Parts: sequence; structure tokens; C-alpha cells
Amino acid sequence: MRFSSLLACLTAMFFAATAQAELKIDITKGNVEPLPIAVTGFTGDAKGAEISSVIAGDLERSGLFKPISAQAFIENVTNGDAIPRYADWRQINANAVVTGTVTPMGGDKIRISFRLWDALGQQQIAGKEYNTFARNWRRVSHLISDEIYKRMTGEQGYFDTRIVYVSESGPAKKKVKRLAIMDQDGANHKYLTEGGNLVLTPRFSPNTQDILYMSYAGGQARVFLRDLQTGREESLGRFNGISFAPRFNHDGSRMLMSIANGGVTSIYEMDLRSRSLKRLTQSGGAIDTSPSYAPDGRAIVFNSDRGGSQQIYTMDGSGGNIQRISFGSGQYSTPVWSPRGDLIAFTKQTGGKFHIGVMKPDGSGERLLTQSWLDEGPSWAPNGRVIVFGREAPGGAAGNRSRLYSVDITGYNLREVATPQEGSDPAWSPLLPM
Amino acid sequence: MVESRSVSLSIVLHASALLIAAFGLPVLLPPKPEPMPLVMTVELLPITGITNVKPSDKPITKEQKAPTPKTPKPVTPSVKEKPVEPAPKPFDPTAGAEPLPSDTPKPADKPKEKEAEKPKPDEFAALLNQLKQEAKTDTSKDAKDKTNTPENKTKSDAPYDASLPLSLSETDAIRGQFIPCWRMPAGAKDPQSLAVSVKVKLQPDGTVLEAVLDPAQRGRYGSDPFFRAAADSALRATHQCSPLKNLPPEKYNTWREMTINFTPQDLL
Repeated sequence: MRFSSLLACLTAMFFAATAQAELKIDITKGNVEPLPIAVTGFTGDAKGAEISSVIAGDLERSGLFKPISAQAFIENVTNGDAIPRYADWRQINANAVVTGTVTPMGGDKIRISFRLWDALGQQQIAGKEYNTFARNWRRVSHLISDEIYKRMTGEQGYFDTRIVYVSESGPAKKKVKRLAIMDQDGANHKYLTEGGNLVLTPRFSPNTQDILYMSYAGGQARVFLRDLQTGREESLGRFNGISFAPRFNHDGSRMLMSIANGGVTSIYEMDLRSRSLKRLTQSGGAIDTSPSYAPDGRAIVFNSDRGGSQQIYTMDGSGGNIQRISFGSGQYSTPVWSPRGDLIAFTKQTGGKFHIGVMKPDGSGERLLTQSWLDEGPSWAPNGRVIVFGREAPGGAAGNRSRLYSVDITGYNLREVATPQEGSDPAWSPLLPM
Repeated sequence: MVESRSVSLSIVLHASALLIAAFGLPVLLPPKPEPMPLVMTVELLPITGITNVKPSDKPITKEQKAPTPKTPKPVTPSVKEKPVEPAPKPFDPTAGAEPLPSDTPKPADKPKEKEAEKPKPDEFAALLNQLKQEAKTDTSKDAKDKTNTPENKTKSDAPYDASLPLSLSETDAIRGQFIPCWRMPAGAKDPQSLAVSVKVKLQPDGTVLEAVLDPAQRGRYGSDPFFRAAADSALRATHQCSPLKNLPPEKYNTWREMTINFTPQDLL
């Protein structure tokens, strides 16, 4: 009996050993080329073509997708709900296919639905429908782009978002700076302020309904809060000295800012409900500024010259445990914590150039993503994957030229964010509430 | 006395069982000493396989028999595909009835695609399958050298030896083919945690017959959207690289089923 069980045991082990002989191949290298995707015109309504054009534009700008020109399509999709002819799409190297329909629902309502197909795996991998007012078609297009992006990368999308920035116009010596807001793709652009007062550093609240910014309204630089829907603007208090560099915490209940007084600039936290103020840093003669919360609010990253040169420091949420994290050559400024928590973006000046870079919250893994005459003020897309920033180029007698740019955290896909006039100080909104 | 003997016997047997479990049976009992030198020569030479002639004494006339049961296999997955597709429909109940029309035109397209691909593998597959069958039946016999017969001369280029592993250059050639096919999850948070194992079944011409996620990773596929995207990307790479090229036909039995581990390294 015992012998037979031993034999069975040995036999099992033998087969286990044989099974291990299965061929295994480790693939460690691939490519980072954008994924070819075919976004077909949505069927059922004339709006369909515009919808697919907005989606294709979103995906293309991400740098992760390469929409295939409709002229190359073999299959003419006439029913956005039907299974595409995979062979036709494979033939033009489409890895994924987007189809969709637009259905008028009576009145000014429509239903927009989409399906995402894996042309190589030959199956539908995502699909959704949206019942909405016809005027919302553009926003629904961005929501669809977000769904596609999420399914293909695993990350949240960032297309249903807006960017607020400082629009600049007029001659170099007398530039008019106005707050402006637009969709991330440049659509629905509008000005928020008239340009009578200098405005800087706009920042979105987590619910995207309010912005904080600094304005010289009243002759002194102060931090203001503005309701985007009503346009109502309020000062967050008159302090001894100027207040600037405001930023919300993750739930919008508190904010950080710098207050400069008597040669000392310190970081303060304000409870936005009670308006009570709490000083977080005090360092004799130093400038502590550009504070930014970690996504969970438990830590704060900021910029200080307390060590002799501008460097990046972190501290816990109550101002304790201050640690320097930047140690490279040059000067660091405007640190911003990524919404996904893994990186801190910053501006770096070294060797006569400016850079936008990222590092881990412990200061390791520093990477410079851009380089130019003047790059500054990074702001994260809500998925922590793309950074928007301001770039200024020397313009000779005509004055310098300021533009907005975006770059992927891999350092690829640097591109200009189109604005009607010059722009600086961009801030990317969180995803808009549904 | 008897007890202590049985105790010591038990200890000895347990120890040996543990040894076998730790190091594997093949270490203790080197199973096939003869083929090993052959394998070694294959490993040393960049071009492998041709030297590994293992003739059989079966006449070539039997080829007609073997290929028939094997070749139909590749066709089945293409038929399977259709039932799979309608499944995702629940995403959009309103469109429930509409995919149907697309199913009907489809058969017309599908066969076209298959037929275009088929003729190539057919002859070759027939030959290989025959060889495989012969090898199975021949294992008991001593291989008698009949390579001089005209029939076997045609086959001696593709002998079958199930124990043959792929050489380094052969596996490197497979790896190289995946570089243009596989889009790595660049920029993803912690990409090193997104290693994906794909179980692949291949036809003799290298065409991917089936590519599925390692069952051990299926749970994560359902719960982790990052992993799901990475897994889909790996599966797409496997399909995109089909057919795999330059696979040594004589080692079909070695590579007909393989596990491909997609491990993003050196990524940001």
C-alpha cells in the first residue's frame, strides 16, 4: 500500500518535471509607437462625422494613438452597431476600430453610442451609449475618447477636461493679461476677466467649478476665488503683505498659498469654510512658495531658498518633517504633485536653459522632459500622464512670444496647445463632473 | 528493531522524494544520454536542425493518411470567432438586433481570408504531420538507417525529435519578431508589474492558432484595468506577429505550444 503511494508520488513528480519542459519565451523589448486606430464616422446623423473627428483628434493628440485616415478604409461602415469586417481592418493595420451611431430622440435630444473593437483579437472590448441634448455632442465625444483611452491604456482619460490660463495680448511693454478658459482641445474658448488687472497662476478646484488665482485688483497682489458659473469673484482676505501661489487641496475644503511680509515668504493653509489661516513654514529670511498638496493631502511639496538656492522640499500636511528632495545642479521651482501621486513635476533652470522635469516624491529618478529658452509652470492632466506648461521664446523687437505646450511624462509628444492669443500659466482641470 | 528499520527506510525514502522534488527527476536519472550530444551541437551552431537527422524507416506513401485528421484543425477557430462576437452586445441593449445583419455577409468574407492563407501551410503541414506520426510509432524501434532509400531522402531534411529545444539564436529570432508587434505600456505607473503570460498554439507554418492569457492571470485581468490593457496589448502582439517566421520546422513539437512572457523592462 505504502509502496504504491510512493510510486504514484514519483510518477506525479516525473510528469511535473516533464511538463516544465514547455517552451517559454521572454519578450522584454517592444516598441512605443502610437497604436493605429480607425475611428469611423458615426452613422445615423450628419453630426456623426464631427463626433468621430473630435474623437480622432483627442486620441491623436495623446500621442498614444495614430488614427488612420478615412481614405485608407476598405470597409465603408454603414451600420455603427454591426461587427466590422476584421480582415479589412487588419489589412490597413488598424489594431482597433471605433464605430458608433447617432440617433435623434425627438426634440433636441439625441442618443450617441459607440463600440470599440479589437481588430486583432476580433471582439468588441468596450461600448456605451449616452442620452443627451444635441448641443452636448462635443462633450460626449470627449467622454467617448476617455472610454477608449481607458480601455486601451488602463488609465483614466483626460479629454473631458478644461484648461484655464492667462491670455496675453498687446504690445510687449503693456501686455494685457486676462484669464481665459477652454476645453482641452481648444474649443469653447472664453475670457473670464476683462484685462484691467494683472492676473496670474489660476488653479482649478477639484469640482472644477471654482478657480483660485492671484490678481492685482485693488492695487495689491491678493488671492481671489472665482465661481466659474456665476462669475462671482471674492478676495480671500487682506493680509500684511502680498498673497500668491494659491492651490486647492484634494477635496476643495482647504487651500495653500504664500504670503510675503517683511522679507519673509511663508506658506499658509486656509480652511475655506471658516477662512481660518494657519502658518505652515517659518524660516528666517527665506522664500517658501509654490506649495502643492500630495493627492491624499497628507504631504506638501514646495519651493524654498532656505538652503541658499531654490530647491524643492517636502513636508507633512501640518508643516513638520521638512526635507529637501532636489539635489541636482541648477535651480528648481514650481513643484506640483501628480494626481496619481507617483511623481512631482517642476521647473528647472540650469546651464542657461529652462526645463520641465519630473522626479519621484523622494527626489530620486529625476528626468527632464523639455528644454527651451523659458519653460515654466507645469500643470498635470487629471490622469497624471500629461503635463501642460508655458513656453516663452525670445521675439526680438516684437517682444517675447508666450505659448502653451503639453508633453507626455515619457518626454515624447511635445506639442503646442493652440490658443487664440499668447498664453501662459496654464492649469488643467480635473475630469468634469458628469 | 523492525520499527527502527522501517523508520530509517521511511527517512531514506522521504529524503529521496524531497531530493527529487527539489532538483527534479531528470537530474537524478539523466533520461536520454544519446540525444544530448546532438542537442549540444545544435546549440553551438547558429544554424540548427539540419544536423539532427533521425531517419525513419516508414515509406513516404503513408503521408496521405496522416495529414487529413490534422489539417482541419486550423479552420475551427475561424468558425468559433463568430459566436464569440455577439457576446459583448449587452453593452448596448438598444442595438441588440442590429449586429445580426453583419453576421450574414461575414461568411463570404471569412473563407476568402482563410483560403488565401491555407494553401501554403497545407503541403508543408502534411509533411510535418506525417513525420510526427512516424516518430511516434518509431520510438519503440531502433532507428534503422534507411536514409539511402529515395523516399527517405526527401524527408531527411525534416527529422522529428521531440526532445530538441530551440537554440538561442532561434529564440532570439522569435524575440526579434515581437519588437515591432508589441506596444509596451510606456508611461504607465509601475510598468514592471504588468508582466503578461500568453499561451500560444501554433500551426506548422507559424500561424497563431490560439492565443490565450495564462489562466493564472485571468483573475487579475478582470479586476485590474491596467493589467487588462497590458494583457490585451500582449494578445494583440501575438496576433500581429502571426505567422511567426523562421521557426525550425523539424522542431515543431517543441514550439507548437509555447508560453510567451511579455515583461516590460527598461521602461519609464
